[in-house]
Amino acid sequence: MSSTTWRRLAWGYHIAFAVAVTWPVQSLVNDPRPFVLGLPLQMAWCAAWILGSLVVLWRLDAARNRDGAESTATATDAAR
Amino acid sequence: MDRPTLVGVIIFAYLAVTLGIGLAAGRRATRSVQGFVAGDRGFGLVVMYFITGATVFSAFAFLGGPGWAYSRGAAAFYILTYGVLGMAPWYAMGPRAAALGRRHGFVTQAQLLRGRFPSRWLSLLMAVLTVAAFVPYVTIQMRGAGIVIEAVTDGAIPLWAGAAIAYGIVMLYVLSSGVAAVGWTNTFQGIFMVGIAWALGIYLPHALYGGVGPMFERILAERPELLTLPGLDGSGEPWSWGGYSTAILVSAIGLSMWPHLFMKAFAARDDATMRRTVILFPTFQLFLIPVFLIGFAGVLFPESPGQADFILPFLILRSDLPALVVGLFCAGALSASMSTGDALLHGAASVTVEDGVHPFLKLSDAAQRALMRVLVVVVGAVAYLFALAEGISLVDILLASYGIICQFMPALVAAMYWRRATTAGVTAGLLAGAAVSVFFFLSPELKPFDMHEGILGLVVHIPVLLGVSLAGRAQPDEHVDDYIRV
Repeated sequence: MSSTTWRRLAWGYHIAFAVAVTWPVQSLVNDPRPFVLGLPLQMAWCAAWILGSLVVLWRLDAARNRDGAESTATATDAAR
Repeated sequence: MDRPTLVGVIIFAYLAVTLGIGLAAGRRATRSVQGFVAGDRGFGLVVMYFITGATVFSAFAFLGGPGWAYSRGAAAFYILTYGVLGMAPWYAMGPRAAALGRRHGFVTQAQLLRGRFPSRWLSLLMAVLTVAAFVPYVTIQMRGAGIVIEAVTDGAIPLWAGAAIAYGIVMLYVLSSGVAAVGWTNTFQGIFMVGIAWALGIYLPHALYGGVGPMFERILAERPELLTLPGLDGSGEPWSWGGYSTAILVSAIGLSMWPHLFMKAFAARDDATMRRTVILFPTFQLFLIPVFLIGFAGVLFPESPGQADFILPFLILRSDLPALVVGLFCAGALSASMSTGDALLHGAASVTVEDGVHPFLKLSDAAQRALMRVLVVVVGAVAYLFALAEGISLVDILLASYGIICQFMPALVAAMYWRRATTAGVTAGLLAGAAVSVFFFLSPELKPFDMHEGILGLVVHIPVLLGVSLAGRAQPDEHVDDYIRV
């Protein structure tokens, strides 16, 4: 996927994150069971969204660097 | 060596190392305003990571976080979520702000705004609002330091003396080394804080309940209301969903707009460093999980502290931990307090001089640095006086600060992304948003759905900014291009 797609995905993900942890969506995820790694479900739910943010931003950065490297290589080829 | 003496020795050794690092850092920075405020724009990934993490995680997270989990249960989860939501926009906004900073020589947030919207009064308004939000925030940090020292020394060093000792040291290194000291001490303090939090967060539930899962099983059986969102409010009654949800939103917006974070963006070495700092930030955020575990560990403890914010030191002192661990904990909590307090003191002084004084009175580089130093002491002294006052609810004050700071969001987004924004529109929006925010802060019973006053301020702020801007004449294209095409 291109960095533009990843950028849109990152925006979409964080908007979904904000919706998921506020009313009304969070009120649907409001039973402490089942515990996840010993933690109540709502706490694990928040932690999972945080970890997802790490993954999405990391992939966006990788895609940006790849696109940047490609455009630099194209420019170098054109200069030759 | 007896227990209190050993604890004291560890704390003083920790403070001495912090001071040493802070003073040594200053030798590397140049003696210019740019060196004092923006660290000569030379911070690499490790320093940026810890500066961001340690600045955001304050005494509020280290003492208030467990305090909330202990007394208000699931309500504390709002603190867990807002950090990443507030930091993620920095992936796009940070490099843009930094590029503008490098191009125009900006070292503060209001300078960026004044560059796009030339008005000395707008700059002064930003400075006043910033300092108004900073002083209570510094107050929280000072009280936090004082609380820890008083609790651990069993009252031998009272709150006023503990706060004075910890902040005397902060003053020394901020005055001599500026932001370079903040960067290197935060790196040291950040490592310390995270290590202590994870160690205690896992140890205490195991020592008291036989594990994290068994601890929550018992809380669910005996106090189920604590594990149901949105948790409890300050008086022990169920909190409202409106209050919980808008606390997340206002804190996320406020966090992304803190003036000291903008200053750190201007201090980054390059854009890649800043982007990686944002990517890694969630790892810092997860450090709140052990902090909450400590608070939950206190729920079914047979005794209780006088105030919820004391739960962490209270448990530490009653769980028969070795003196070494108590001393290290105390140093970790002091790290949390001092690493935020130093950035805030430095930020408040820099903003007052650069944005409040400089637009009206031309000063030499040396005079600006001298004035910043005087103001570090003045702001510190004012916050210290507030810290000594009894009966102030610090969490409420923090949320009120966020209400003020989140009013900067529409103005800064417009400055960097909206071509049609005008000076009149931004000023009118800022005044209207701040006025509404203050009104509902003073009349909480009028708030619809128990929403946070900062969000209500934004509901008025954004239409005013849009309406007044569109009604006025657009800024010249070449001026706007300078800010939008970065």
